Amino acid sequence: MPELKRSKTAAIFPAFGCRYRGNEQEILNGLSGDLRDMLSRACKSVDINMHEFLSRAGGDFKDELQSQYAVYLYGCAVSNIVKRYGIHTDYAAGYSMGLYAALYHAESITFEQGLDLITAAAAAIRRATAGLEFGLGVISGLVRDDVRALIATHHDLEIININNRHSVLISGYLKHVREVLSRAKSEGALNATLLTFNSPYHSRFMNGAAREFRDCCAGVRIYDPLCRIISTVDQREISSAEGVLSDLVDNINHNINWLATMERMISTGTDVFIECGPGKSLRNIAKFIDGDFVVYHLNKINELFSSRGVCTSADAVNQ
Amino acid sequence: MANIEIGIRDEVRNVVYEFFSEECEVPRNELSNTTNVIKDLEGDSLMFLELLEIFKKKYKLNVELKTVGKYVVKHPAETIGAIIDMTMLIIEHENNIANLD
Repeated sequence: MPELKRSKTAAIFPAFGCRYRGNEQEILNGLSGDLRDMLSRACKSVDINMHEFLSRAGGDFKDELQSQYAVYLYGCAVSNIVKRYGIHTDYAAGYSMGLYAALYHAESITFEQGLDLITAAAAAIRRATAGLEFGLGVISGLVRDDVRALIATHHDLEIININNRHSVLISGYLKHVREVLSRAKSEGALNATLLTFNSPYHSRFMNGAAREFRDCCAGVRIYDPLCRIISTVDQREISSAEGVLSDLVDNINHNINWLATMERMISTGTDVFIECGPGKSLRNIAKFIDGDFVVYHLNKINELFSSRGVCTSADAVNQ
Repeated sequence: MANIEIGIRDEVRNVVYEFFSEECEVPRNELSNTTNVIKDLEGDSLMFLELLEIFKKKYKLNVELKTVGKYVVKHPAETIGAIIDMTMLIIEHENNIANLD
């Protein structure tokens, strides 16, 4: 008898800085009242600017923290809707600070805890980088060895994330990042752009912030995740509260590897990814990741709901 | 170097128009050779990379991305028409595109 192989589904969560389509509020409000409810709850919990959130539908937030709250809210709202439609997810993973929404999705933290953790991480990062000028850049079109050779001239520079086979992120002192981006263009990079963020996320400059953040996390009640979390730091499957705590802290000051994270899930048979958040950045990144899979983003969410390829919670229970 | 057959330009044009229409969710009849991919369609370099991969596979091209990148720095292609022209040059010259002025 041929072996029946059930395909797996993963929820993936973008970070702030992703490009919005501008119609996210319209789509989500058309599906449920989750976004409005969560915004209202968020306003009671943290210093989120409701007017700013509602008026910046295109995601052009002036303040980095507001931008982080917003992407978290969108991610959590999509997560609620996905669950309400009965779609079972085997894995969850968050791109950078998308981890907080992934943990909310896995019911490892509550919505409000996620907001508090984002606030605490931002404060710790701000203190760790005070008085220094850092930069983040994206380089596309060069192979990784070429980028490694480019950054080797400055010890402060690190590849902090590998997006896919064509695109990496670097960070370090702003003047060095600028210089390397300029050289990358001369070397033939199709894209070498300085990002608008000014903190060296996922780098060793965040060691102090990670220590401070660990202390904050100590007082947070974290639950075992209901679906496996895939660490973007080392791609391990996390199924315990202790593992979640460790990954939360590592996510602050360790390099991440989104390519390897996606590959890890694909290798287990995951062929449906649901991008839970604004825009379709993760879907675009995934185009340069090998495998037979599909990424549903918010604009295609109705196609997901009418798809027969995904497993519902009832299916999962019966297998 | 690929053998440029009659009709390849039409084929390239078709692929490029279809690609941007689908990617940017814009009806094909609203696109023209003067449509600016960055300003009008909010496109990005990853789209160009994807197109390049499509053509590399379709025509079995021997061309390195960074060779194209060096050419693009000197000859930016922002409109659909310019991207079609550049694609034709890449198909014709492959890695030798680096030697073009």
